[in-house]
Amino acid sequence: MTDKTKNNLRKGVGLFLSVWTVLVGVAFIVQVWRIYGLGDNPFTVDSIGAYFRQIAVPVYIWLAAVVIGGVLLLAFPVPQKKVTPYIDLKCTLARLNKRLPESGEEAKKLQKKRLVAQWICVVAAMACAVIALVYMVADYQLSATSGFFAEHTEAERLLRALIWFIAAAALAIATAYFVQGTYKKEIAFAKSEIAANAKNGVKVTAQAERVTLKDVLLKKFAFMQSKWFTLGLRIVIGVLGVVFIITGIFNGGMKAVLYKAITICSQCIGIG
Amino acid sequence: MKKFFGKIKNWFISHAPTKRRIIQLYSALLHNAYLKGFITGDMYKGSTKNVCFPGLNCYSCPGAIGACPLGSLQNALGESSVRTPTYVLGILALFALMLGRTICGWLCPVGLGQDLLYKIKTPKIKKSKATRVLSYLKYFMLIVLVVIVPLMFAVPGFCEYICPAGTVAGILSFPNNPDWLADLGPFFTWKFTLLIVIIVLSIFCYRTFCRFLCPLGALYGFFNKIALLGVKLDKNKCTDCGLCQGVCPMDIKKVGDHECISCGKCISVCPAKAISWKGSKLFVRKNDTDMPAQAESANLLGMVKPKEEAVENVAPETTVQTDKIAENTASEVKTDEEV
Repeated sequence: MTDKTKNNLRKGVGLFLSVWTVLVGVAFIVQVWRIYGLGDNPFTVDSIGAYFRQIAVPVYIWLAAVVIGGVLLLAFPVPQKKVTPYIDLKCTLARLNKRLPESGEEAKKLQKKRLVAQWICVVAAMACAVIALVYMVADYQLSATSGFFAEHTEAERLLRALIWFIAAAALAIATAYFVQGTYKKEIAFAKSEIAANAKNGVKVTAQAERVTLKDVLLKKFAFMQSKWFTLGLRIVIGVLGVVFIITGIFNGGMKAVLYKAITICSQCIGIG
Repeated sequence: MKKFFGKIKNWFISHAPTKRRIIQLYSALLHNAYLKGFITGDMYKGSTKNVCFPGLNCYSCPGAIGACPLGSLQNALGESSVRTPTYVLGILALFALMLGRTICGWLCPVGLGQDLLYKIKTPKIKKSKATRVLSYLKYFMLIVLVVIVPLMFAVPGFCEYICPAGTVAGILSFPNNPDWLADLGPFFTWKFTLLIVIIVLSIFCYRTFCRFLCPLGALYGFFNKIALLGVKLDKNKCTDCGLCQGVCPMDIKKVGDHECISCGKCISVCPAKAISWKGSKLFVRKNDTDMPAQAESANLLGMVKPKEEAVENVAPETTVQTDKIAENTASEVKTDEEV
């Protein structure tokens, strides 16, 4: 069997396993919602088992595919792959900029765009966080008057807060990709400028490194990087930990942990 | 036939469990040492449940012999009007100080489960900017579900709405406690759905739960830099080649930062030997890593540049050489796609 055939076989099984994994997952989810929606409560092991037996065949196929995938790997081992370095665009750009007397006009525009995008993201994310926090803690009239949400007001608050968190996360992901794009473009500009300078025989003196707020803060709090500061912090936290535990033993904290741990936690196992 | 069995033997030799995996298995067993509980459905009620265990392991699990740190913390915060939650905070502080997120990588049973699921050979979702941003979701979980909800509503928010360990504990308990089935409802339906989503995603994406959702990991992550055990980077030796980030399955920015679970994969691939274990003399051997087979063989064959040579090549003014070293090493050091 040629390497190409082996590779195709591995890919085929991998792809089948991926699709089947998702399908089996969806089948499980559908069945559990069917039990909740259609099942007769009080549930019994048999009545729930009947729902899951309906998806037994796909699950067995999935298990077989996992085993076959393993056997295939045994028969046709995957060729070892190279470890590829993680390219940090920011570091790469900083290195390239050291070989340029000054950033070009286009590069400066990109830097401005990047800065604006980052600040917009920070402000918007903070706004989302504040709104989410208000939904969590503020005293306001909730919409549900009966049913699940009326019994669990924190669930309704969480749902409202989560929407704002998702919005912030989406914005952050979009900004991250935009920033990455600007770095890539700026690197391309820097490389072309370096090449042009080399071609024209321009002698380059490295541009002064831009001092960022992070640099200033790092310099100011340089003592925090020292070995002795770390040691001191470790001792403080260690001593505090021991004192807290002793205090907890005497204020009943330990008994509370034991009581909770030996009693079935209905919330944990999902029965309310 | 002989050839086939030879292949199987070779496979077992090359896939022998690493020390990390063995420790994970022991730890999972230790967290759930009351094996009788899995058969009878009884909970362990001994005095060891006075103490929280380091890893995420629901105390309602029939096998659990210790208390869950996260559940205990939420309950303690919920009862903070009665007593200050010093006991749980003290235990968590000591765990975090001693081990940091090494707990996630080496001791947590939930982490072990996800590691094993990721072994299933399917196409994988690689880390990216999106996963990096999503990794901050666990801080939302920590602040909102573990702190705000218990403080305000006296409800263990994370346990009630998210925790997959609790759902698994429920599934394991139901057959022996059929009476509980009468209480099944929206909570269990939601949590079961979430459990399935996490399991499916863990097959495609490395440690989905740990990276994006686990508030315990978020909490331990704050202490990663000062933890007594973990990995550390020698900045003087580092050549910025980026191989450590390339081989790391977590969303780290730097070795040993709040995302690092100290699995040790980066130690093997570092061409400048700039990464090592903290307190290695006390706890572990210097080159005790998660991928010994490939990396050590690479070392033995002289594929990895020795420390002196790598450092020598990178003079401050010759910045391009840093990239070259990375490229050279990348083409020399080989490893599996997924470990």
